[in-house]
Amino acid sequence: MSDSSTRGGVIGARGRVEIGLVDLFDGSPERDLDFMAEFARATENAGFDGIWMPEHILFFERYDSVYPYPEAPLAANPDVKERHNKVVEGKAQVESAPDQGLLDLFQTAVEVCAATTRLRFGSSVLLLPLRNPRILAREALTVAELTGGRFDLGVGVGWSAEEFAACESDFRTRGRRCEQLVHAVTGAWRGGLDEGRALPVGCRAPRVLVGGHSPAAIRRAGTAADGWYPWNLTPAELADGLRTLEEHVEASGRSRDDLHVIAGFRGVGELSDLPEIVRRYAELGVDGINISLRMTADNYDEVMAEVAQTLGLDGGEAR
Amino acid sequence: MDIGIACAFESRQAGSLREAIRAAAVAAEDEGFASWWGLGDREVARTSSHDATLGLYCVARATRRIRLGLAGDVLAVRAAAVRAKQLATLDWFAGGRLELGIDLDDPGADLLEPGADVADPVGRSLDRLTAMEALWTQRRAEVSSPTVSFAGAIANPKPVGDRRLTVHLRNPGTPALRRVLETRGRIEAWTAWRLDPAALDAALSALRDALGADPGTVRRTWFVDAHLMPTSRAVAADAGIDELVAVFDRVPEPAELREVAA
Repeated sequence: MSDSSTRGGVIGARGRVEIGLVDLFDGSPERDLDFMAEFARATENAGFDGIWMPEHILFFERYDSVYPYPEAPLAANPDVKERHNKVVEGKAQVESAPDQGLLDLFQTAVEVCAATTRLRFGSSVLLLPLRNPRILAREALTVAELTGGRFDLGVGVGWSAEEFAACESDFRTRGRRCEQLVHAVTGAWRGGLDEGRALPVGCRAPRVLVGGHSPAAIRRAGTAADGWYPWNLTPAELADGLRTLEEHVEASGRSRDDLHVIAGFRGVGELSDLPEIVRRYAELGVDGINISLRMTADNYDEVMAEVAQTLGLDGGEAR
Repeated sequence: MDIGIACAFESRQAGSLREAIRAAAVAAEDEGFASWWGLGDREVARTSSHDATLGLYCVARATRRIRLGLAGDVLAVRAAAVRAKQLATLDWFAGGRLELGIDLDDPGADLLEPGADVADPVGRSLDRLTAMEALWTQRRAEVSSPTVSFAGAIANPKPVGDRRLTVHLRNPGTPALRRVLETRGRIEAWTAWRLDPAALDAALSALRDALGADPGTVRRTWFVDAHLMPTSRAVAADAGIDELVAVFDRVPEPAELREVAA
């Protein structure tokens, strides 16, 4: 294993910036167990720091809910956003296949980390309001144990009212519930459990990063979590969010060094243009940058190699 | 009669938990055990052991033949769709070897979310089981019940073969068994969790009462503490038990498995 801080790659205002890829494992024949291992090793060999996987418990053919991230900053000119999701009756829809699936995040995390030696795995993001915190606290510790501490727990409030209804969770109060659950789970890890309950000992709890860029999400990140994970922001929006985050961090008696900030975006444009947006984010002082490249089972190794090369990552070749 | 093992996913051995599980799982398969079970939610919540689903995932990845089971999901505290995905994923990793134990009893405070209450755990659990089975078997799943409703839901992956998992009811008593029969029309498998021989006999009587007949077609599994295995084999055979499962309070070492198998 190599120490992240001594590896080469993207250097930002706070030092070396971890570069992660956002992609998915769906249990389809094209993305079977062999694919998972090969993809994970290719990611590691190319010099990336992590794989992050989104979560949806269910998909629907059509949503009344509006997908909240239809626009992504252009790689070549990240001050400008471009819409890339289809719109139905004025409502942006999530990008998904007709029979889209996603494997369970936690089992996938263990599988990916077992196939690699240093790669981290993160949730991008786990839909926290759908969980029973008494069960989640133990699950996350077990993932931390089985991945050798290489798991990051990104959490969010979701956007699909259809999914929340089917998962028996109140959509309107999901923000408040998310905050309560962050406190409940991290409190349980710190030993603040109810009488008679026990959790595994001897394993370090994962980092909890709050996804989203609403004022409430930034407040939760700054006051209750271990980090912030916004998505598809222009550099100016990210700078604003970081300023707000630091205010919350200071108000809660913590230091910016206590938090891990990862800026994620959907890669739009040419791969050769990625250094521009990565540089702009890095200069703002993020600790990590996650990129969704929508790679296929046929092209991922070439895409990874090209991106690694263009960003100057340490890896030789993807495979 | 088949012989299986169940354990808490906790290890006192040197090395990682994953490696301890892998070594034990390989040994269990080599020794001819028929099944490996993770503890139920109720037991896990009262111990410092790790999550049973993730522990069982490690067993799945280290084996090819052995049946895998969860000894007691308390569905009254688990959202159906969330649990359906976890189990379908585990079955995917296991190549279709997963079976599901259901615990219909009152969940208790250590599993309920703070401030939550479940007035009818049996009804809620059965509603959720129906919803999970819809998600596992329907391309566009639809269900409507007092607990959970959805339409047009796309849930993938599904269990291998788009099948319903074999459901083992953990000895819920005659009234609950009758309710299961009314709701589902059948009881395919039944388990007795760490009952002594007299309690096992009473539980089997309750099963016969609920069925109104000999439970010949219902698969019966009896879990006993590992050190009781030698004295339990004859009792199990006399009682018509189909599978006897040795329960360990931690991941067993291969030598302990050989001892149970002997």
